[in-house]
Amino acid sequence: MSQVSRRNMKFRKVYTALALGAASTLALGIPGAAFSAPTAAPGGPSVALSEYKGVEAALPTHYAEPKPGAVKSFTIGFMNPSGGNQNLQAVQDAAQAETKRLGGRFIAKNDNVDINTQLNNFKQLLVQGADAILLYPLDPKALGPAIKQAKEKGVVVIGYDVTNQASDALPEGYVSQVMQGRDWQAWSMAKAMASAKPGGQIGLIGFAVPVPGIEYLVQRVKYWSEQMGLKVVGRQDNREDSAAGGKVAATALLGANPQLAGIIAYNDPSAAGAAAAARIAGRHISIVGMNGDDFGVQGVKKGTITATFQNDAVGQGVQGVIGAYDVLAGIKVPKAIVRPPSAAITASTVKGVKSWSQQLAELERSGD
Amino acid sequence: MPETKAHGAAKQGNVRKFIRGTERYAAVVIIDIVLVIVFSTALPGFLSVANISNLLTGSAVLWVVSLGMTFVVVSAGIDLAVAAQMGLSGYLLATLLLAGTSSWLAISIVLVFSAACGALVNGVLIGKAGLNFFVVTLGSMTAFTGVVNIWSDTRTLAVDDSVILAIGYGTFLGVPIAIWIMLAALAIAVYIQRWTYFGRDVFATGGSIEAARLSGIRTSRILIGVYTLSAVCAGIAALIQVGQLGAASPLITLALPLQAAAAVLLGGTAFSGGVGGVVGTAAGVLFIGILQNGLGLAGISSYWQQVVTGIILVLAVGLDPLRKLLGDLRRRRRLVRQS
Repeated sequence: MSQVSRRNMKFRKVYTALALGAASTLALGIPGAAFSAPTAAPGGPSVALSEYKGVEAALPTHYAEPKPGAVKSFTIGFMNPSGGNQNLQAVQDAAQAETKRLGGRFIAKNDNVDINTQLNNFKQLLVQGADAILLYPLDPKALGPAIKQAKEKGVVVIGYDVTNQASDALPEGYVSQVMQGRDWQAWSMAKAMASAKPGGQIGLIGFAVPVPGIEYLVQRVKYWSEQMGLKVVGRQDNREDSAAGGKVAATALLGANPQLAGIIAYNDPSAAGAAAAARIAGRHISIVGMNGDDFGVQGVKKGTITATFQNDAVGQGVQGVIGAYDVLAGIKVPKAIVRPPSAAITASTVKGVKSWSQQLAELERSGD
Repeated sequence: MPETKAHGAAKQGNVRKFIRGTERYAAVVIIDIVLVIVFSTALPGFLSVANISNLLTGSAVLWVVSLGMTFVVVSAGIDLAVAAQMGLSGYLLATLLLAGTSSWLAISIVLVFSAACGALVNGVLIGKAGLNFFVVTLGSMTAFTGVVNIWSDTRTLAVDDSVILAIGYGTFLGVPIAIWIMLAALAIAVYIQRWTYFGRDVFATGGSIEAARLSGIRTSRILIGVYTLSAVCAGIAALIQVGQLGAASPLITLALPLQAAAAVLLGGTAFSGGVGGVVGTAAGVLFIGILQNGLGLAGISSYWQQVVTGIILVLAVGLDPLRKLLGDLRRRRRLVRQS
């Protein structure tokens, strides 16, 4: 069995363990959990909670396993839209480790959440002789002419979350995309909330900066929440993408809705901010976040956050490189793959969760 | 013989005048040259045509915005709304083009619109109503950003107009059009600064608004003028950005005004107003561009790039009191010699 297969097996084991842990938690620990039957939302529509069957369920989760040595020498350029983001840094580190394992050169660029910097970095990677560029576009519709230039030079461009839906056409120049499964994430978050507060009134925290992927996530959370019988009574946006911004947004939600039973936030820092706001207001509500970063995991450990979901940052980084490598080796790749989120991280599963750094350490060990 | 002597003295006087005129930004020019020498020695690809072209076209947006910002800073103000103005102008451009407006008409409308925003919002509130420039431009930045978000509904508009794309990627005589725009903008800015009454009045207003008013300068008009100029520069930068991205994005680079202010300060323009100039600003923008490009090619983390840029910025601004001290000493020595 190849190293990649072994690693994939490890990931599968981690997911299986997390899934089993989460299932037992939700079944035993969260009131109202019902996995074999649709949600028991009083008067509302219902949807099965047992398994995600949305638009992303049919997508492949891996590119074809690479044959080491198939490409003699290659350079991967990685464009990190925000180097300060723990999740994105984990994607970058995983991509770097995988590139090293396959014998390539790795160049990383930090776009500092600035679309002009992203454009300049992209053009610099072309000058530096990158054979493939892994691009997390800050604005998927922008950079069109630069990506076209890359295509003309024969540079492979693999995107991250380029389109919200896999059925949407990829912009010209992209060979494939790795999706983090926004719809899948939304379904998971709504499910955790519906299990904790069936039929309850909930508020949503979105991001004030118009990032299409996050906006799509929030819209899908609303959709799935309503499908699961929850009543979405309000939405506030985090202006700073920080815990402090989440606190301000949650304070407004709590003030406007005395019956609020829960808040679903687009990421863990916002969820942590919401937890602080609830504590200050003396309200006991359920809070669900996303990403499984330190904010989320610590919040779950302290009992201030009900559930979060680990984004498969390591898998996304690894698969991006594998996709690029496959194309360079002449292997046809699918237009999109999805890396679904982990099962729910809750009070009873949090101990078994492997952090991204632990997963990376394992990945690096497997490459040695 | 006396004629030759007089000619020589005049020539010497001109050289001195030139040196005195450049001393505020001489340090940045020297650092720029040193950086180019270091990077071209250490990094084989640094001086390649493709990289130099990238470096300059990548600095085009900051260049144009910083030139406009220079006039604002010389007038003892700052324009925090330039990035939001760029976003608004860019979105208007894309909307007009998608509605079937011809390229040149759309460009003209965008520039007039930018000028109107600068004049009627920041200019009137600061120049006429006498409100604080920081509060006004912070407010307009926030309001413009909100308008872009509401108008765009978080959607990006792709632009495939040939004229706009040529601004981003086309060449003229083998040189990218964006670089031609940079040169033209600098030439116009130098002309306005040195050879127009408006340019001189901006310095007078920035040096002491009361003294300028008492000497007959209509300072409110001057302030409206500088914020209009800054907004027009933001409009031109929007044309370049939309051309380079091939789209008008609702994402606004909120760090842009600070980067522009950094370039202006590096170029020897004092935040206290009344002193500085656009040539120094151009050197300041080049400093930021060369440093980021070189360190990026060398694979040095962007965080270190920020640290180095920050340290050099502080040093450059710290040079200001030193420059003043040296100037005072020189003046005193001259007086002693004369007496």
